[in-house]
Amino acid sequence: MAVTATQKLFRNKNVLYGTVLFAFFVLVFIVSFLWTPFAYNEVFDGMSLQPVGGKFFLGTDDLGRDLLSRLMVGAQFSLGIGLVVGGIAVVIGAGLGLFAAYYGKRVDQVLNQSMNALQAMPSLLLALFVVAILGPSVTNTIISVTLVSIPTMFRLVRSQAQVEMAKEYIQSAKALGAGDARIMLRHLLPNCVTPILVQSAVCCSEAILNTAALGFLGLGIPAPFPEWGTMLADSKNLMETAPHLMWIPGLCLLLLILSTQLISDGLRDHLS
Amino acid sequence: MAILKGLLKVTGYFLFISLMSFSIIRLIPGDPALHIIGERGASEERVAEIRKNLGLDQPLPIQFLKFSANALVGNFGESTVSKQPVLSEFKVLWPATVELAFVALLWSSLVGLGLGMLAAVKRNSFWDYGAVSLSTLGFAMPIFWWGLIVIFFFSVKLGLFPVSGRIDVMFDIPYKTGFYFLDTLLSGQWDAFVSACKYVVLPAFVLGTVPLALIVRVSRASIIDVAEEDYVRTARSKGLPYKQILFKHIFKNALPQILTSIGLAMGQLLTGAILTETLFSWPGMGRWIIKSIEARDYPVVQAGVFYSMLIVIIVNWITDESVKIVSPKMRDQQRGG
Repeated sequence: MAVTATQKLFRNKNVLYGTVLFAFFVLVFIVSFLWTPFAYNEVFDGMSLQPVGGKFFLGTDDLGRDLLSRLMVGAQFSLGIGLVVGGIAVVIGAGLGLFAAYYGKRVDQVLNQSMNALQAMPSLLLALFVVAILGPSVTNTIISVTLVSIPTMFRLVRSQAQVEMAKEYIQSAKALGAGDARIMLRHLLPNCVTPILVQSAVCCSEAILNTAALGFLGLGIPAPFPEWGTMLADSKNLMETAPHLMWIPGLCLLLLILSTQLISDGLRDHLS
Repeated sequence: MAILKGLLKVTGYFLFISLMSFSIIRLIPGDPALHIIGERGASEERVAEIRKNLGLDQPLPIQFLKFSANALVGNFGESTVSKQPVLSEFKVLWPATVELAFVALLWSSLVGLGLGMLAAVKRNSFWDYGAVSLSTLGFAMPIFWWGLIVIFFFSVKLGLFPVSGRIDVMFDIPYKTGFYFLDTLLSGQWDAFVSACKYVVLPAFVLGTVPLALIVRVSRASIIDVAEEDYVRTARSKGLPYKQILFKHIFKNALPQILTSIGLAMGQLLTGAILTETLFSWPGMGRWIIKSIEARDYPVVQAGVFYSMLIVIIVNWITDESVKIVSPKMRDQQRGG
């Protein structure tokens, strides 16, 4: 039996484990829109800090809200923002990268310098300052986290596209009278797919981590939305009485980030 | 010529970072003066007075020149919360961050280098898989959660180390350098030195985790790379002892890459310091910046942008220079090109 490309891909252990783990979170993500055990912000009187097991499967938090429901809705933010940011970073970062490599000269210089400027600051700090300017909200979290992830995508795509630009097929396409947009989209882009794929997984995992970090610092997605990083920050003072509030959200976060990193590591090995 | 070039470069960097920190307060929608006063509102005169104090009544280019000139001598005005000059706050706080980052970098570099070498030498062994998995896990680990776990075990359960602050409150350390390790010894308080050491253990352990993952990965990969070079095979075939090959041939040639990764790790330390300092109530720059953002203390935010970018640039420069020192190849490339 012939081995298809997909089967080959999944022979890479990292890709396999990463995808399985990621698929689990996607499942939770989808289910959370349709059903959660309780409403995520429903407060049960006298039921605060319930342990794992019993009526509340994963226990309750300090206000008596069901942890499982909150975790599931929290997945909407972590995974949702990860995917959205990964997507936007591909469109903007890769788009600008192609642009810079194709037009070269001044366009390239200006774009490259402005990306350098964005990278002159540590990523979390840049995200923090953007939130400081715009104020904390879901949209602003997405904006700040995206801004942070664009430069690396830009750089990778630009350098790959520069290599491709020097090759003959681009010259031939030009000689045949193909337009700029056609060359960029039909010739350059398909040859830059490898770095784009790998880096979009990296962007996704960085976005998830940075979103949670902003939440942990109290500058992320505002209450009453259940965001994993914010939940972790709240658990700090309760770790003696209710350690499950610390263990479970953190484990979810670690596994989600791990899954995207395994995918990107595996893809890199497989494609190069 | 070289000096002139360098000077031009430094001036460029300086103008760039002061432009960035200058812009941040002006990018905020609305009037910064109103932001500073807050939502309670104030009289027209008070608003005008604050605008004048911030220099907001002048044209933008003049504002920028003034700001840059002040930044050059470290004058960022007064904190709107504590009413202290920003510079004097910074002077006390930065040694705390440097002290923490230094300890974190020290342990993570030593352990990371050791583990990376071990993994590379005993390739595909238990040690190798262990080191690689550890590094994968370290990369994925949200360090604020890792910090919570560490606090849970070492402080709550075992009661081994304190988790909040830099030193026990019973000690009174006279300010000399701002570094508690030095100040306690300079003032001859041995107990205080021990206390400072105890307080730094957990935050430095947590802060060093991500750099550790990076250094393990890079040092392993670069040693494996170099070990496959022809000159290593030659050295082996002429019968040199393996230890000598490892340290004289392989390690020396892998060092530039490893140093670059340590430089990268230093950049990550700054991000990590924000989270770690918040978690451990460590009175350093990271917590200072977070607090100022929460309180909308814009002069401090500006100084935070300025200093953190300055640190990144200095760290990058140190990394480049040290790579040049250990690698003659890089040095010659620069001279020739």
